Amino acid sequence: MPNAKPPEQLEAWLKQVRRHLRGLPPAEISEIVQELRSHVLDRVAGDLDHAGIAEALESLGDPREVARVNLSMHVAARAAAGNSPFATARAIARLGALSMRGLWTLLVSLAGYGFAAAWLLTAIVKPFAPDRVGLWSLPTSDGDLSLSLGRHAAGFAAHDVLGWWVVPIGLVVGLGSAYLTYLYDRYALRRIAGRQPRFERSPS
Amino acid sequence: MKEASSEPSDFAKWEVQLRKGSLGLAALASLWEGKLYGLELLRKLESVAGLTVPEGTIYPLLSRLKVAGFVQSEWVEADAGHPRKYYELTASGRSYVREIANTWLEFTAGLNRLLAPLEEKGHAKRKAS
Repeated sequence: MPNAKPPEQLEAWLKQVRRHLRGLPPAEISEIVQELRSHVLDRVAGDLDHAGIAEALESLGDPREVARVNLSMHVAARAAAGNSPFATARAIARLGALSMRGLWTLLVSLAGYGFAAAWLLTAIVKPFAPDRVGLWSLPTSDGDLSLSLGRHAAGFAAHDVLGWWVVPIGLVVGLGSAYLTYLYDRYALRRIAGRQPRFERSPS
Repeated sequence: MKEASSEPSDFAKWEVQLRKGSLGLAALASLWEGKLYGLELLRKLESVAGLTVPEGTIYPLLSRLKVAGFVQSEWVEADAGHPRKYYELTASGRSYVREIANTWLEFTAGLNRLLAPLEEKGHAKRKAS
C-alpha cells in the first residue's frame, strides 16, 4: 500500500519535531521533517500499523531531542561555513539555549564582548568627559585599592591611572579582545558543528 | 584494587572517543561505492562494519558533511511511494575520504603489528578458558 496516508501517530511526532525546529528557515525545517518521515516509512516498509510506527519512532528518539540535535548542527554549521560576525553572534546566542556547551560558549562570549565594550566605550568617551571617564584606582574601606573602568561620579576620591593613555590602550585592548572573542566563537561553532554522535558496536 | 576500578571508565572514555572520531570516516566510506539514503547507510554501517548509530543522529551528521562539501544530496521518487533523500560523495568528498582512509590504514597497519603479540595471547587465553 505505497500511497497510504502516513498515520496520525507519525504526523503528530513530526509536528513536535517541527515545533522545536522553530527559528530555522522554513525550507530547512521542511527538508528535515520530510527526511524523517521518509526514514520512518522506509523502516516500516509500507506496513503502517501502530506498533511498527511506534517502534520506528522510538528508534529515532524523543522528538524534542531529535530537533535539538538537528537545530544545533544546522545553526552551528551554517554560521561556521560563513565569516559574518553578526551571523556568528546570532548563532552563539541561539546555541546558548540548546546545549550546555552552547550555554558555556554564550557566557564566555558575553564576558569577552562585555570586556571589549567597556574598554572601547571608555576610550571613545574619554575625550568628551576627561574628568569623569577612565581607569580609576579607588580606595576601599579596608585600605586596599580597586580598579574601576568607565564612568565615575563627580566628587569621589579616585585616581585616574592611565590618563589620556586610556584612549589608545582602550582601543587596542577593546578591539583585540573583541577579535579574540570572535575567534573563540568561530572555534566553538566548528566544535559544535563537528560533534559526532555516539555509535556502538552491533551485538554479534 | 584502585587501579582495576579506574580501568573500565578510562577504557570506556577511550572507546567512545575512538568511535566518535571515526564515524565521519565510516559514513563517508559507506558512500564510496554509490549513493545511499539514510536508512540504507545505517544498515550498511551495521551489516558491514558492525556499527550501530542512533538513528536520530545520522541526519545531522550527513547534513554537516553536506555543509562541509563532502557529500551532496538529491530527492528521488522511489517505488516505495514516498521520496527518498539520497547522499553521494562529491569530488572533494572522494578525495578527502581517500586521504583519511590511507592515513587510517597506515596507522592501523603499524599498530596492528605492535598489537599482534597481545592478540595471540588473547586467543590462547580464550582457548584455555
